[in-house]
Amino acid sequence: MTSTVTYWQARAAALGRELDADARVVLVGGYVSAPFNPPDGLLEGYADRVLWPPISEAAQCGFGIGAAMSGLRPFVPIGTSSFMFYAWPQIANEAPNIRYLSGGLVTAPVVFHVMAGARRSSGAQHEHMPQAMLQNVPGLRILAPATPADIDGLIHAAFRCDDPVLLVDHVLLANATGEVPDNPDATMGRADLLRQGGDVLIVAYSLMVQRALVAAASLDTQGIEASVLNLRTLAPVPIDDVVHAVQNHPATLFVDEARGPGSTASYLMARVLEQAPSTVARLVCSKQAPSPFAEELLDEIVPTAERIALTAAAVLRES
Amino acid sequence: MIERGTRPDQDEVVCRSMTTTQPTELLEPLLLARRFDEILLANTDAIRGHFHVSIGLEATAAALSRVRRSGDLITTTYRNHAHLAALGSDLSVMYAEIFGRDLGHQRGRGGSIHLSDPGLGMLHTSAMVSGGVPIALGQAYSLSRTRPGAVCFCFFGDGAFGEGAVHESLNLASLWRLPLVFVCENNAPPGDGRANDQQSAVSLLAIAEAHRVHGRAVDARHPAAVVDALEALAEEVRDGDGPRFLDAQAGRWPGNATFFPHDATGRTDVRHAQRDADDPWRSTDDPVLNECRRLLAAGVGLDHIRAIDRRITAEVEGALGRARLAPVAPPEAAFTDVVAP
Repeated sequence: MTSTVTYWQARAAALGRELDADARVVLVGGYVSAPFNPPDGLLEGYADRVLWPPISEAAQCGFGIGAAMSGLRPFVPIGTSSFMFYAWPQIANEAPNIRYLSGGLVTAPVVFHVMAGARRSSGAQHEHMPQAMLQNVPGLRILAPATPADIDGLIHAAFRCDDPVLLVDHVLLANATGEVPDNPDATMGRADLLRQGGDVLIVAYSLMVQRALVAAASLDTQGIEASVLNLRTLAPVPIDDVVHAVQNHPATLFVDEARGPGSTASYLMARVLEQAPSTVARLVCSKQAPSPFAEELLDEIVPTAERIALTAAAVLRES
Repeated sequence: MIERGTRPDQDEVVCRSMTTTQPTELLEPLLLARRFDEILLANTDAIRGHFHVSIGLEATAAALSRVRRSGDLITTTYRNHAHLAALGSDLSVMYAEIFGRDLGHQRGRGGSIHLSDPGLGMLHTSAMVSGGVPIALGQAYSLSRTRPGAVCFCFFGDGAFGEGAVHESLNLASLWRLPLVFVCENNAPPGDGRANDQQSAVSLLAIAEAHRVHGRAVDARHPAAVVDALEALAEEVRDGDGPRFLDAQAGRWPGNATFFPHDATGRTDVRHAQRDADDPWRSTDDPVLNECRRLLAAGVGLDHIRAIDRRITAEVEGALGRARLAPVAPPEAAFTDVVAP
C-alpha cells in the first residue's frame, strides 16, 4: 500500500514517527521545516521534544554530538546550510572521527539537517551546497533525498545508523508529490532508478532529480528517451549502482547543484570513467559564481530543467 | 612565572576532603601522572609525532580522581596524560597508544593527543583547543536525562578562551542549567590587570560569570586546594544548580617552553620537599612537591612518601616495558572503524 503526499508532509510524518517510536529522539533546534515550508504541526505536536538553542551553531552541533555519544538520538536542524560553516569544527572534525579515534568503542549517531541549495532570491550567503566539501571527510554519511518516499525512508535509515549523518534537504522540494509506502523503504547507499529510457541517463540528487524528471519529460517530446537515476546517498556514494546504469545507456549526464570542483558529480564521473572508460559523459553543475539575488541571474548559475535537456540533446548529437 | 598576589589566599583553604581519607590518597594519582610523563620523556625515541605532557598540571587530574563518581563523564584535551593516569587508566595501554601500537585503546590511530578511555567516562578526546567543550554540553544533557546527580567534567586550557566555542558553550550550559563542571587548566601568567596576555577580561572567572556560570579560582599548585574547590563545585552541580566553572591556576613547568616538551627539570626528587630550592619550579610551583610538603607538615614521614614513589615508579616502568614490546596494528586496521560495518 502507498499514499500520495507532498514532500513536506512526508518529512513531518517521518519525524513524528521517529519521535513516537523512540523516547531518546530529541530535536536540537526547530528549523527543520520553518520558515520556508508550509506549517506542518511538528513543532507544536512535539513541543516537549524540541530544544531551542541560541544562535550558536558550534555549541548546538557539539551538543548533538555529545548527546549522541552518551545514549540519545539527537536530530539537529541547523537551518540554512551555510550556517553549518559556523559549526564546521564539530561537523567536519569531531563527529566523523569519534568512531575511529575510539578504536570503534564509541559512536556518535547524530543527524544534522540542513536546507541546502538555491532557494531563490536569498543571495550568495544563503544558497550553498556545503555537503560537497564534506565528501572529503571519512566517517560522515551524507543523504540527499529528492522525493517524499526518499525523505520518509532516509529519515528512517538515518535514525537506525550508528554513524553521524548529514541530511541534505532542500527548500524547493517542499511541494514535490509522490507515493510513500506504508513501511519506510530506503537503503542507505543505494540509488533509485526513477525513470527508464534507453537514450540517455541523467544521474542527479536532491532538487536536481526533480529538474531531471522535468527535463526527461521535455526530451520525450523530442523523441529522446531518458532515464533518471536518483542517488539518494552521497556518502557512501552508490558507485556500483551508477556504473551499472551507465553501462546500460549510450550517454550519461551527471547533474549537480554544487559547483563543479569537488562536487559529487565530478567525483562520480571520474570513478565511472575509471571503471567504464568508453562512457560518453557530461557534467552539468552550478557554474563557478556565487548565487545571485535576481532569479533571472540565478538561472544562469544553477542547472535548470532546460539546461539539462539541452545538454542531453547535445551530447546525443555529438556522440 | 606567575606573580604572587594574583592568586586565591591559600591560608583560607581547609582541606575537608583530606581529613576524611588516607592522607596520601592524593599523592598517588599525582605521582602516577608525574612519573608517567617523566618516563615518557626519557623514551622519546619510541614516540612518533607531536605530543604534550601534563607536568605541572597534575593537581586538577588528581583532584578529578577524588571527586569523580561512577557514571560521570569527562572530556579532556590534547594534554590528557595526567587525567587518564590519575584516574587509573591502564598505563601500558596509554604508552602503547602514544607509541602507535595496536595495544592502545585507539589501536595506534590516535596517539598521545587523542588518548581516551571509555571505561572511565572519557568517551572521545578532541585534540582541537576548544573541540571537546561543545561536546561536553550534550554529554551533560544526556546525564541530566538518564543519571540525575551525575555530572560531566569538561577540561580545557586557558587558550580555549580565544575561541568562540567556549563562549557559546558557557552561555548554552547556563541557559539550560546543564550538569557541567568547566575546568580550565590555566597556566598562562596573568599580568597588566588581565587574565593573561591574550585576554582583555580581568580574569577567566569573570568571563564565566558574565554568562552567569559561577565558580571559583584556585591555586592549582596546591592539589589539596583543588580537591576542595572541585568537590564543592561538583556538589553544587550535582544538586541541580546548573554549571560551574573552575579557574585552576597552575604553575608553568619550564619544559613546556618549547614546541616539543623537554625534560627541563629532571626527574622529580621528592626529597626536594624538605630542602630549599632557588628555582621557582621546585620552591613554589611544582604541585607534586607541594603535596609532599603538605603531607610532611601533617606528620607523614618522608620515608613513607619515598616508598610510595618507588612503588609507583616501578609500576610505570613496567607499563612502559610492556608497551615497547607491543606490535603495530596490521595494515587493515587503517580502514576499520571509519563507519559502521
